[in-house]
Amino acid sequence: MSDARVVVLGHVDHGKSTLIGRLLHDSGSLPAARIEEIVASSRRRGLQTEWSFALDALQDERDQAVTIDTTRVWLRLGGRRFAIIDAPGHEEFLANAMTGASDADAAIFVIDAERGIEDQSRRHAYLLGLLSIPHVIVAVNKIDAVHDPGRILAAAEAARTVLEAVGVAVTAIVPVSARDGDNVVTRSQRTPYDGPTLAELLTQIVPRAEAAQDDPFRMWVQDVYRRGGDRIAVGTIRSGRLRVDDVVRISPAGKSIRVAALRGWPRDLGSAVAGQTVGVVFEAPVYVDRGDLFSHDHDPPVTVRALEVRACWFDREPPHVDETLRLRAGSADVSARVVAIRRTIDPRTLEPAAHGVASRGMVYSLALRTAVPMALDEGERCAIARRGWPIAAAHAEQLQPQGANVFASSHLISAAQRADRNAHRGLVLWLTGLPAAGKTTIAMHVERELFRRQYHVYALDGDTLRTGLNSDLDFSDEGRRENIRRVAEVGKLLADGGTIALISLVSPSAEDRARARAIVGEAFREAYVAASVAVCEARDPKRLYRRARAGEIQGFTGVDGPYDVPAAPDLVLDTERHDVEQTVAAAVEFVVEAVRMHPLVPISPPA
Amino acid sequence: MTPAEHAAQDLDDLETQAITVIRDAYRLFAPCCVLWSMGKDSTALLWLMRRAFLGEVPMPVVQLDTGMELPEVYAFRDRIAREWELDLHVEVCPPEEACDPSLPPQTRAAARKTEGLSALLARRGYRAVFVGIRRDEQATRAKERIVSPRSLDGSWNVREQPPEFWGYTLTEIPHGGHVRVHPLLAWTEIDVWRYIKRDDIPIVSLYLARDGLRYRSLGEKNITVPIASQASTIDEIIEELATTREPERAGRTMDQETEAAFERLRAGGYM
Repeated sequence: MSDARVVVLGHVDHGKSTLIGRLLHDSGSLPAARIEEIVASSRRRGLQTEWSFALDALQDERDQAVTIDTTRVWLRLGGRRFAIIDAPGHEEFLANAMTGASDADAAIFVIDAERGIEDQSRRHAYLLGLLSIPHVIVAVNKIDAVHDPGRILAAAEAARTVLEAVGVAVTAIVPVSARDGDNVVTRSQRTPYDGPTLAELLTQIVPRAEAAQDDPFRMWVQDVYRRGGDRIAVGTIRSGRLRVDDVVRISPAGKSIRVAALRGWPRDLGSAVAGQTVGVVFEAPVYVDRGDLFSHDHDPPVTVRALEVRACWFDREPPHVDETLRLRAGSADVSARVVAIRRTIDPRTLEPAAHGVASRGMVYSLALRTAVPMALDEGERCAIARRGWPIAAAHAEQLQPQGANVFASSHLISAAQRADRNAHRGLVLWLTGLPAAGKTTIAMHVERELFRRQYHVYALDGDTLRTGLNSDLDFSDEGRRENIRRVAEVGKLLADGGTIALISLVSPSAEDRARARAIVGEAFREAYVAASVAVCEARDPKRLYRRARAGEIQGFTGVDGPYDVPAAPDLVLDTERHDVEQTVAAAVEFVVEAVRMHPLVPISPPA
Repeated sequence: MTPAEHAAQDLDDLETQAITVIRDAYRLFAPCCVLWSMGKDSTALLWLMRRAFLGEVPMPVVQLDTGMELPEVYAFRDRIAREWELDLHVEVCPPEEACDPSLPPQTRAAARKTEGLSALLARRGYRAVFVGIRRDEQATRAKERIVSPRSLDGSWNVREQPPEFWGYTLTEIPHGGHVRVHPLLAWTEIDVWRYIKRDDIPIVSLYLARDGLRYRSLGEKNITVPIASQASTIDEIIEELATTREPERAGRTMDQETEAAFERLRAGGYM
């Protein structure tokens, strides 16, 4: 039988670790040697036998008698195995409590019979609501110290009220003494309670239902592997099922394509269901990468740039308006700007938080705007991160579909009419190459020469665009990709308008350049501005190579960032072997030829 | 569902989770390597990698060698490395004299591997190290994270660990440091044996009882002793584990030394 995972939550000092230690001991799960060790360790510290030492493994935890980090122990009850997760009750360690609780099948909510509900009880109750853990048992502890049965009942009712206020249904309430063992594994006569013991309640837990096979198909792409000639998109099916021959929609791109094979090892699969890992091969080459979300065509996820999240915050530093955070949903991990902080709820009161209250443990409703489109579902379980470190658990809400209320207008002027007026066609000449290869120098000279010859031309420089249109993007892979996408879109508009756009951009990734070509269409020409790293480094007009070598710039193309040399460029401009005049002349000649108007009627050869 | 179906489902879930962790970390953290002690756990980890990467292990497989493994273990290493086409790197660990002299003697012998690992990281610049440890092995390992950041000197700051929830883990490496990746963290000893049985994964024969003795945990010959056992097949091992109350690492002498010895060893960068 599979393990049931049970998290134990509650305010600090209400006796969580002691209760678990007692469960371990009374269920006969502790080896004799371990019991001796605990007794000896307690004695060394001048304590009576402290069962929490079975869990608090760190020296600090024993010395300070406080659980710092979550831990888990395994025990056997009624032939069934349980993983018991001890979550720290101290406010400082809320993130650790979340770490322990996030995948639990059930929770034991511990409350001190005398002290009743306290701050951390409320926070943990909220956490249970956030996690929607299916079974919650309330253990009213320390009944050995309370002689008024009315107090025990009052504490039990208070716990129920707090839990129900955040949508948690209580499965059972049991009065216990962790110290003495009452109603933990053995029945107690101390109170009139005659219901099941905690151990009996645990054996009735049914682990979480199997992953949702009947829900709509979803799979986040983790990576793409190349094996032989195949490109294999790997991931884990989160819900639904997938079969060979299914048509899969790739979001956020929105492309649909048929599945040719499902790869596995040692053997391939014909179909796969929620909870399985697969490698998907499509019938034709298609751009897929980590962060894409697969679905079927008829029930796709929502593609958004704007959304709200309800975030349980673990960090000392609160969210700030205009701050850029990382929003993670499945394998997608995108930059997101905080547009507004709509509400801050204090889970201890369920009311708006007082001004200036510490951010840790607060629940923020944040309006976010993502740097790139992102595909996800309403209610998606997300993480918010700063510098790769998760700082909040969030649910996605109020997804605003991208492109809703946006309709492309049709022009009343055709491309041919524009070309006719200008006496040439529009074009995007995409100059790619290493930093300092000479891309911008060539572009500026070509622009001057074409302008002199009456062409409509405009040079777009990558660095210049970074100061304006793309000033919100960073130099991460995602930032570069988005930079290239936007530049390609602008180039396309210029070319559609009849202009020759000369775009100089390092654009090191062949895949990104292929996307630029796909955006622009047939007006796209790739020019490879070729020069070796050594030559570029010797030029280094912006002293960027020097700084990259000094480690001041990470991932610098040519130093520690890769450059994919174009496999089949439309034009090669070798700035190592030819001077500026020669390369400019070659480029001008190439452009003039590419934008030449082809007469509709062939000119008759001279008679 | 019958109990047998439940158990199978549970093993499938653990396998899926481990493969997911392996693929994520491989994509996010390069260059990386995997530690292989030839024990059952790290051998199962290599098997999971072959599943994750469709038949191959696309990273160096590192053995931290103290020269003190049993002969059967070295023979197993060479056979599996050949059959699975592993990119095996044997890292010879510095002598005991190079380790922290304030550690108890057996713990100090184990610390040789810590020194070997930190020398390897400094030399080859790996940014992620896959390790087959499990939470149920030892109480301080129970506090571990699946993706666990290490500082420049390899040390583990147990008081400042990143949250992990809903499958989200750390995605950036601390400046100048590295991460340990623990795909088997949620597995238990019995899970590993059931998985070995299910997929027929090869193991060192020392795990199986001969003349009433078997190795339950396989360390170097100077710091590990066999336990009394009649379990001579994997089925019998699974049966034995279902009833025993003895801890897995009872045969590891270094664990028994002082209360905090293992915590100190781990804080210093041990696996």
